[in-house]
Amino acid sequence: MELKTHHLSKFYTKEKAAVADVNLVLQEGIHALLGANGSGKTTLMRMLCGILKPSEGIVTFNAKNIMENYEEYILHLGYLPQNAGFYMNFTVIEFLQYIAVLKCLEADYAKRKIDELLELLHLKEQSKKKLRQLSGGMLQRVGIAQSLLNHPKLLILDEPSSGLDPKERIALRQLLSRLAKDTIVILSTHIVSDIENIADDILLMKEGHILFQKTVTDTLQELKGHVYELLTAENEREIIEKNYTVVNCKRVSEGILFRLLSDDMKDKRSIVVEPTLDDVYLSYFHEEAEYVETNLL
Amino acid sequence: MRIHWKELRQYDEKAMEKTIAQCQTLMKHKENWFVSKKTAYRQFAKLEIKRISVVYGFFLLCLLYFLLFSEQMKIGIVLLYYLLLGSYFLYQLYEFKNNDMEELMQALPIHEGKRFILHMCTFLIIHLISFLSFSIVGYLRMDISMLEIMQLALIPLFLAHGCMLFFLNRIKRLYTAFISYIILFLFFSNFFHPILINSSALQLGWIQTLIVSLFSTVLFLIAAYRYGLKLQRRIHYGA
Repeated sequence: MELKTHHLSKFYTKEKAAVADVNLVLQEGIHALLGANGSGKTTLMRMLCGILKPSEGIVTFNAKNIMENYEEYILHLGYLPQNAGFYMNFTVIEFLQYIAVLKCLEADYAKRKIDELLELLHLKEQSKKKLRQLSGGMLQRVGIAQSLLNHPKLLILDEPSSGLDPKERIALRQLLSRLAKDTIVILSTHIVSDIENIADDILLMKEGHILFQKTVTDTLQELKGHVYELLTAENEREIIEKNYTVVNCKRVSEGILFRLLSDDMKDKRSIVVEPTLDDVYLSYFHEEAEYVETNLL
Repeated sequence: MRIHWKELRQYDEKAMEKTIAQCQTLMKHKENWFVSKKTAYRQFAKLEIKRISVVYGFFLLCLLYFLLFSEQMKIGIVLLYYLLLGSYFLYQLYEFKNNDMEELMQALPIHEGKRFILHMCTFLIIHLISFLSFSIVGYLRMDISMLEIMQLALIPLFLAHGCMLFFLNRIKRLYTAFISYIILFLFFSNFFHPILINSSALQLGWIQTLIVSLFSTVLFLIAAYRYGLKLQRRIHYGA
């Protein structure tokens, strides 16, 4: 299976492209689309789903243009939009049955699959509750369940972990890892920790451009030797913040422990540490750091 | 027993073919969970009709009551019946419009366009049943005025709904839509028949009423087709 984009672009205004000339080749596995808010992730995902017409370029799935083969393509697509809405008067089970019908699923299969997903996503107890009675995290899990109903070949999840608590996030990661064997999973997020251990490759997106598509190991390798920890006194804080990109700072009994990014570290007190994806993210997006949700900040 | 290498190759190929066939069966079985679109649409129609049948059933009961027990068919009663019928149809359109499900629905094989067609058909069938029942009873009771009432009641229903469908995408809230619909319905009702005290209305003859009611039906169908087409287009090209 192969999903390809050929010079994919989307212009909402003449001056600025929301997505600019994106060329991707994606195969089975988890592909994490990482970028700050407004970087074009959702627009790209909508175009991959075929619900937004590209201004330029095409998307092909197994060498067929998805728009020419849309009826077939959509059968094998699982999609969870960002801030997905629900029919709040439905119960969980009614909603999933409804979506199963809309996905052209055979009744027996749908019944089995719904049971399986309710179990997997820990929704069994809530299955007879109305959707309006559920919390945000539970609704998000219902959204994930509906995207998996048709055992999709291509699963597109736009910020699936938003609203989930840490335990649910871990469960989601495990579920995605399991699915990735025979599914192309594209998941967008700005929560770095969600993808660090499960993504096969990372697609870093900024201002509509894909900056790179690399494996996690390669991505981290690139930053090796550029991440430091430095223990300083309280009064040095301003100088440090001025001279380096600060990933994290933590007050400890001896002073302040900084985690820094630098190409040219001169301070002898610093020690080189292993880079994480948070560091990579911040090395590209340090000017937008206040919008980043990491496990360090 | 000695086996020649050629035979072995033959066995190998046979085994391979068998394995491939088994794999293909497995694959077929694995993807056999999809039903044809026709079947899916039938399942969907069943599910939707089950959901709305209680309310439409209530409408039909009201209709039966009017036909069997009401001595006089007053224009006010018929108009009220159609006003409520139209309001429920509007509610159906908004129930699915106002819950951010649009994006998700666009990525499903059976989508908003199909649901709209289903609801249109149900609404038209219920309307047709009502219209024919009222007309037949009017004919049996030898009450020609009832036929006029039916035609008159049809005009505001279709004209108001036609206008609503033209502007449905611009009206975001159900509450606003309801108020607009009721105002339009009352306006058109009063325009063609004086339902408000001391109001002036067009007093149309039988033929003129028929022409206007046909015109309003055509307008409604055009508006519905246009709205359906918009939904259909949005499915492939995004909102």
